[in-house]
Amino acid sequence: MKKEFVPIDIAIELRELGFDEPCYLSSHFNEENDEFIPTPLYQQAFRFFREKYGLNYEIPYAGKTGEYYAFVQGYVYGKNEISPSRFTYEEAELACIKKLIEMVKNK
Amino acid sequence: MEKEFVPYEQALALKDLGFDEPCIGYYESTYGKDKVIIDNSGLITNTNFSKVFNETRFRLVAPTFSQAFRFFREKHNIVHSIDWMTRSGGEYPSGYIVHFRGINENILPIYNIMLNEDNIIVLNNTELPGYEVFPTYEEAELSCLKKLIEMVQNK
Repeated sequence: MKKEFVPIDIAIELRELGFDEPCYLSSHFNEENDEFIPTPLYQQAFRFFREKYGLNYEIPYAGKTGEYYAFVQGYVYGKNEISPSRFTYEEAELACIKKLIEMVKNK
Repeated sequence: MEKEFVPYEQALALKDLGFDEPCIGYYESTYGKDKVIIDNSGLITNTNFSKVFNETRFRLVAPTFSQAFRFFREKHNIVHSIDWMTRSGGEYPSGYIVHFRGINENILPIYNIMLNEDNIIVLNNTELPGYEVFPTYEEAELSCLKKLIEMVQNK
């Protein structure tokens, strides 16, 4: 089940962007103060960007190599946008979330 | 929160297709088919439920949509994508379209086209010619899941 949830650093960033939905997991992130943070499912995080910011993502299969592209708002995302990066599905999900966070922060 | 989980009918179909991953939600006969009970123990699977419950009092795992799609990707080599499509002009509204692709092999024909790595097959409108364009992501997601189930049932 762990791979259904965003990593803790992403959960922290989402909270800073206003994510405030009930979650099925709390992650221990500050041992000093014994603090927990609600940790969304990836699908909850993507819904947050869709509904709050009107931002969409796509993870199309790249074919042949068993890898995927990460698209945000119709644009391929990767280290080199001329020759787009290919990811495992899970890496593509994370790449999309990171790009969505960056886009909202730079708005 | 229930929108994170596949509806009862699809959860049952997934069980019949062999879905047996640990889940955080389940349906129980006492509460009906619309209520998802949460259990974070990490231990609930259809196999474990079948050891304890029977047909009159049942429990059925409720996978998240993401888990269901992973099942089709990893166990049946069928990938999908739900894409936003902006269209200008009143006659054709913007919305989400669903497309499918196969991994590695000729999996099965859809609309007389073989699902494999080379072909991208878009979910067609059942009433009008052309692609089905969904006004919401959630509608696209559910239709996508229904089509995936149908594809594997007919394999």
